[in-house]
Amino acid sequence: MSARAPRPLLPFVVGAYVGLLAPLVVVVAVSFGPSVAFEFPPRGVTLHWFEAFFASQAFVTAFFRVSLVVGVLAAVLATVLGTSAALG
Amino acid sequence: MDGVRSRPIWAFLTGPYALFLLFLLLVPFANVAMYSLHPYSPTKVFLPELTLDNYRKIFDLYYVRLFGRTLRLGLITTAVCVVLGYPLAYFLARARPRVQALGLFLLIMPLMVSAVIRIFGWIVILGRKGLVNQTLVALGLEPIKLLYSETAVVIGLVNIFVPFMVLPIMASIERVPPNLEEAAQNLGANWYRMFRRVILPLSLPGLISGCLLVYSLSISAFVTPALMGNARERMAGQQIYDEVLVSFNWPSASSLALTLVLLTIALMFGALFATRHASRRDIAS
Repeated sequence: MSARAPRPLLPFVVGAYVGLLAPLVVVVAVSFGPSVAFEFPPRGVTLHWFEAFFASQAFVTAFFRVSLVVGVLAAVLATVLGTSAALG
Repeated sequence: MDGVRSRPIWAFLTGPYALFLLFLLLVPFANVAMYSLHPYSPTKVFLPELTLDNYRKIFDLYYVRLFGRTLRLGLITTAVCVVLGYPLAYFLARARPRVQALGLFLLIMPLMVSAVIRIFGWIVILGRKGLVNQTLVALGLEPIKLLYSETAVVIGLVNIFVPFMVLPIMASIERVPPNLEEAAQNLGANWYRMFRRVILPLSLPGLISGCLLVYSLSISAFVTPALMGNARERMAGQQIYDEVLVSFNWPSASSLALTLVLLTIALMFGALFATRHASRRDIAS
């Protein structure tokens, strides 16, 4: 039986997690909402904005041709440089 | 013998990273230092003669206030991170393995989402017709202006930097064997006394490195104050950005950037000295 953190700390723990995760939950919820403006809680559920994302040439190019490619290159370069420096 | 033979391999392995750091960190940094010592020129970026005017200007009231505000908001952010982060770190360090794994996942996952996206979430929560104000109106209270204020900046910074506080504290609490806690309590210490005499001193190194991390990250933050603060009460990062990209006063921006770096380094050494001093005193007593 190992020691546990005392119970009176639990409200702080829950509070910290609520603060940490609230903006993420809100962003995900808003992305399914029908409104053009940020609106929480959303009035309905729709995939309209996901359709709009894939229909937009600018977003698709930015995401698949730029962000993904840059991300992969950065990861490869960082792995090669970092691993060799750590070994050496 | 072996050392001599392995030297070329060592250079070959570390070389690329060293070159990377040299050309993409040290050279640009030296360049910034060079800019900061020349007077500004609207047509030529900077004039060839040397001057300390860029640094003298930092003692103007506007810049003193700017740095004062930056350091103050950094301090508040760090304090809130300690209050929220320490209990969380203690809880995670002493949790069952499964709870700990889930807790760590929930703590680290937000780090993989861009700060900009989390700030959008805060805009929805804190905005004029956001979640907080909707709740206040529903309770029959006056809506308050939260977004674009120092409070909003602190909320945003705490949200982004709390994991950097929790992880080092958690690591140092985990190294304290639980039976030390039990021994202290068996010998008659109540929980509060046990915490003050056993856990707190032994987790101090983690607490200090967490505070240093959060403080130096928050005084150099740019995105959060730019999106959640207002232009009148700006932080140093916004001022540097504006002077680089809006007013094109690179010498002035360079002197501000170097001042910020020097402040951070001074802080690090101060904290290092303080911990050395504290541990020496512990051994002496």
